[in-house]
Amino acid sequence: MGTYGYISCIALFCYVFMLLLMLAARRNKIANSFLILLIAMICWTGGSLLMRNLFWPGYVFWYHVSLFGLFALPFGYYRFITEFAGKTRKGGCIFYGALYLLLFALNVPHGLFLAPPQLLQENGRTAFVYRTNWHVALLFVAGGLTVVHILSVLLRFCRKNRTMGKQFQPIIIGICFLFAGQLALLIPVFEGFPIDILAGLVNAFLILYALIRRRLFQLRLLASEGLCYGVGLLLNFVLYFNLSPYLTKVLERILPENSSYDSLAFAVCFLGTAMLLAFVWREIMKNVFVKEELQQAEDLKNFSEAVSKSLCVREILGEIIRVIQRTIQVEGIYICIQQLPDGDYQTEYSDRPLDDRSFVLKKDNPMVCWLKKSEGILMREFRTTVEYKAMWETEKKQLRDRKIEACIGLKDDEELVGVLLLGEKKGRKKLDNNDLKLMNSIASVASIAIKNARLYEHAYYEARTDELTGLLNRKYFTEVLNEEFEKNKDGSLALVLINLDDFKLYNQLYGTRQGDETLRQVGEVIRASVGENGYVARYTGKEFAVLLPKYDVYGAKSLTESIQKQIFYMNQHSADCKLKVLTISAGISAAPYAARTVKELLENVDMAVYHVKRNGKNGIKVFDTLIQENLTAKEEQTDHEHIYQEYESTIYALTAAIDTKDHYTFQHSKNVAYYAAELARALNLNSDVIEIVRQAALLHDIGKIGIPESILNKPGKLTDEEYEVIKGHVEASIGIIRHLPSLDYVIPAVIGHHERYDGKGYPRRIAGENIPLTARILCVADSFDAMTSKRCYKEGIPVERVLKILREEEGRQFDPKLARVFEGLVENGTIHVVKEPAV
Amino acid sequence: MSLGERLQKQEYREIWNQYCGFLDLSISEYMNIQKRLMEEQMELFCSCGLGASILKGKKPRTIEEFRKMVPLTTYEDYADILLQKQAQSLPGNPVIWIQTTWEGGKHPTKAAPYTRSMLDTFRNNVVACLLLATSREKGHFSYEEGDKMLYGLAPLPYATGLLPLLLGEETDIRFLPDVKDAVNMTFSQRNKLGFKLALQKDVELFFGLGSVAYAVSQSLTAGGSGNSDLSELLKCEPHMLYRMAKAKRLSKKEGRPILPRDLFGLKGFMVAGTDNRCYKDELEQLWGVRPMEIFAGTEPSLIGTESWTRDGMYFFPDSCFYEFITEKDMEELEEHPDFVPQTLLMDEVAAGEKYELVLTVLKGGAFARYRCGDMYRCVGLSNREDGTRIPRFEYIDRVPSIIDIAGFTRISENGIKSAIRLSGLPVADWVAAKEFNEKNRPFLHLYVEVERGAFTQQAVSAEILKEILSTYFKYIDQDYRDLKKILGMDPLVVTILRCGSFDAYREKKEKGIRHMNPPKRELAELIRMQESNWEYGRR
Repeated sequence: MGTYGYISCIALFCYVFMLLLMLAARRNKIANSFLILLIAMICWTGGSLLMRNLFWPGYVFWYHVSLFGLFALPFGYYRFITEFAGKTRKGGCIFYGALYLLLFALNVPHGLFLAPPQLLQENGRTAFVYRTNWHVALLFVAGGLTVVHILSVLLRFCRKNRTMGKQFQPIIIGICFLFAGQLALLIPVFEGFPIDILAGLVNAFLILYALIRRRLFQLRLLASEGLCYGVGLLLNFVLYFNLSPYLTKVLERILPENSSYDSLAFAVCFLGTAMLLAFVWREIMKNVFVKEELQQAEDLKNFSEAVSKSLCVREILGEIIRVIQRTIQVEGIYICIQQLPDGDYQTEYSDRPLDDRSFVLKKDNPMVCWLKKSEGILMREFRTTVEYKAMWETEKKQLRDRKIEACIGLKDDEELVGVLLLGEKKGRKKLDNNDLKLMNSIASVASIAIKNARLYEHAYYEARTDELTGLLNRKYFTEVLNEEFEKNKDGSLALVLINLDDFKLYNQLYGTRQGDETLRQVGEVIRASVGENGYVARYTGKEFAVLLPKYDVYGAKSLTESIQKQIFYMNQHSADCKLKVLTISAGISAAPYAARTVKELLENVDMAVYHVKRNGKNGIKVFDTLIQENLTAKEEQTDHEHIYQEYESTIYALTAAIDTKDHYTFQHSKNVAYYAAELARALNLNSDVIEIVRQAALLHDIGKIGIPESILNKPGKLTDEEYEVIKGHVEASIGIIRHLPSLDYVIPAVIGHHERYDGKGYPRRIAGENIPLTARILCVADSFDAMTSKRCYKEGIPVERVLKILREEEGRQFDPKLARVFEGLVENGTIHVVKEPAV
Repeated sequence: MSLGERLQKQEYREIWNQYCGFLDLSISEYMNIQKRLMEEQMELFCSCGLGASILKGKKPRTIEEFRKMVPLTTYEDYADILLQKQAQSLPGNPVIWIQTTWEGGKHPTKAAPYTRSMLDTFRNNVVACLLLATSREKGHFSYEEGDKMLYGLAPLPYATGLLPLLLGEETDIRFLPDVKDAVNMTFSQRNKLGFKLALQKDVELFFGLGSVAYAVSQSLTAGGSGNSDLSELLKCEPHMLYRMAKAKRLSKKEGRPILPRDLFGLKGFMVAGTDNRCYKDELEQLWGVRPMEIFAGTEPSLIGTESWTRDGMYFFPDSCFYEFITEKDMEELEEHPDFVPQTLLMDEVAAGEKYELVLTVLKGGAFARYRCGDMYRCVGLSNREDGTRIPRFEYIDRVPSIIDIAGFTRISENGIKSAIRLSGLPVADWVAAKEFNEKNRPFLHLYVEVERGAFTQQAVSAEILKEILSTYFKYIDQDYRDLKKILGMDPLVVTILRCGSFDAYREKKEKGIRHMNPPKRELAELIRMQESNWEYGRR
């Protein structure tokens, strides 16, 4: 090797290295054309190096190889540049390929342009003497023209496209270097120095730099397996090329007797160092270029482990935020979760505690629709999709205000359960597709974890809550009670039991559906009042328990009074103002003041409630020892009077009022009360309902008090207007009764007694079973008496005829079942037709 | 990222998808965009003063309710608020007011507010037009940064003036002449200078009214290369000199004048306005490129474009919410203005049917269920050739009550009445119709009946009537004047009908004939009246 032989050696090494690198990179037209260029350079440099070292089969062969590489360069360059600019020019490539192949072919036999050099060996030194003639100028002219053409093409591309100009800068500089290197050979200063090879090397590095800038391959490829072994071998070859004489001597000295093993020992050393070099190369490259990726993989692994262990959605969301912050350092991370099936996506979690989480992505938001069918996307790319056209300006602004740069879907199979929104990266970097890939991996891991956690949380929630009210159920409440009792042994713990008064009646009056709705509302009232201060449970059907840790009796009583007040007024604010007023009977007890054990505490509140019930309901009682005594005393009293008896006087006062104005209505009410009560009894209804029906019958026409007598007792047919006035008596009756909260239970019967079974009645035009049972009973009784009674404008209809009418109207005006029962009662004499003459 | 940046990065596929991707939508996807944006617009419209004035206290919650509650509107319904530019009463904040003439209106001009969001949509859609104009197949276009456009349309405050500004936001496109110079020039000056510059520097794109493009191209053909002056020739780029020489040689060889296609290799050619179909073939002949039709207006902004197949226009899904009145309902509406037609949506139109377009401008636009006065024919509901699955339309004409000549002037009934009144001519009755001559050029045909006895008092030949009425049309309508000046067109033809023809028609049909564009059958009947023995008062 000559004095500067190492330059060729290094150049060759670098070219081979680049070749390996490009082979590992993603293949495309540009990469392929660069490969051609590299092969040309390898031929040129390698041929030159081997020629100088007189390798087999001879320097002339290697001279031609070198010249072939040199001749292939213009073609390679032209092809590379046109591909790099994205404007393939097949014609130009073919022209240059054919031209230089022809020139090469012409040169091979007799060295028409540049003959192989003459080998001179003096004093053990090898020298090559080139004999040139004017023909060589043709080569330079062709090369010069090609360079000019390539540069003009380049300039044209750059002028059209400024960005392209920047990308081409290193390539242009490289060409200049290359050509200058060739020209420099003619300068005497560089005689013997392979300036052309050095310039070629610089050029190759500049091209590589251009490719890296163009992101045609990533530096992490430097750590790829193939390249590591290739580089290891290459380095090893260079190493042994220089060390082999010394190494042979060392081996001979160490193993003088077993010289036959020299080759084997040499081979083992060669292999060992090759592996070592490959290993060292890989480690260095990993640490320099792939460190970040390894760290990310590690973070992802830790994240997977963490979320797979958790069954708490909030914990998982927290982990997602943490792993994103660690891996891609984003500021502004929002996780929106779909709360209800087919619902919108509400912000559930974000990386900054003071973020506004009222942000909602509508379920038909185009971004949500995109994520349902595709993977995550960078916002700058999403903005270019057709789907983006459907975005509202407010939605765009929301994302803009939060500086969202990417969105990723959290999917459970095909269902999108959540959306992950990522803000800007720290520093001046922007999120790219690599970040997005990582995010998609995180999202897919997180999606499974979220799905499991949600299923678990749902099951857990269902197991401890009451389905109707969403409050704690009795079983779980008992657990909580025990736990809290233990925790507050040294403090105080109050327990309140709230029992709704007459709820069975409420259900009978308005149906169980309305009853359930009311229970939900009561539950809401109690939950809102207690808030975070305690636990609320639906203890039994109509009983709620409130556990108040750290509350004393006084505090618990104040709270219960507030709840009592809210429940009392609850129905007044409801849309249907005809609902009965609800009252509660509440008992309060507190540990350690009145109870030493959980059992005792529960018994105390039970007893307190019982006490209130026995004392006329609608009250709050704090348990004390006196209650026990009072209760016992009460128990001893003979009979508990029927609660409805209390209102008898009020009812008579009202009916007496109408009697003074319209005696017929008074008598009619009494008759209807008799008929209705008999019918209710025959239907086996309980005594409470029978009493309600009776009282409702007495009051059902109380509204007629406001109708002028001229209309009430008009002998002839009523006009339409007068009939409308008469129809108004139902509403008028309700208007009177509603002011008597204690009598409001008769309202359903009164308001519905003119409804028809076929839905053609008034005032609400409801039909069938939607009409309260009490109203349907009243309807039959009312009609029967109206028909049998004699009025100033009509004679009484004979009972047989009335029964026939009843039969005809079954299913039309009357509930067929009730009408039939009533007819039976009249026919078998259970009901006696009242004969008192009417007015 | 703008178009320019993407072009520099050679992201051609992404560019196509971003701007022209709507052509791949299925009709349900298209309607989804329409309805979603309409919901947004409905909310904006209903909560503003303008919306309240039109809805009169009603509050629609769904698009169906909106279509029921908002009546079909015309500019009259908006005039009070829009002409006073009451920004606070509008659905969105206007960043620019676009203007146009209001033919037959109570004010000489109409103004339409444009929000920033509308402009963004306009910009994206105009880029789509630019790409499609330079495309010969799906996904491939030849537009490049730095391309030059010969721009033959009106500057701001007209809607067409927005194009250079919006395209400038997206890409480095150069206009011939430069926009800042063009603003101060007349229409004719702009066109002349544009062509002069095109001859010097070459041009890749041409955008203009079909009729104007044709007139200008003709003048170029008539004047040869136009550059015989040496100093002018020196300003030309070498390749243009070469092309001129080549064109001259070719024209001599073939014995024909120099055509624009000999001088320019246009990448894209866009035309707007009415009557383009009359000029398309000739323009293709002249320029060697088939013009691509787009549709834009002051009130609706840019709403439609043809694709690379040049076979029908597609409406952009994000400009306006489109409704269609069938031809039958439209005629019923002409006869009985109180008639409330049932409109169809884009997914309800039928191929081959003619419709009047009703639109609600999206993104904070002011117009709701607005009758813009244009008629389209649905060419097909899908197209195998370009692979689209959305309906495409062909522009037919303005609604019958307006006669539009070559996209230049719009003549209304009031306009004709004014011209007749001002002229003082003894015209007893008249009917105006838009007709096409043997060269397929549009003209206004006025059938007039002169008052009885007037023939004895003054000279009233068809020629005289035409001259006098033309003078008055030019007096009351600047655009009409430009027709002659720019296009060299004299669009008026007058036919004098025999006295009593109108009355005879009225007696026979028991109703009068519509003044503007009556159905052809009725017009033929009227003309036949003068040949029959019908005479006023004698049956």
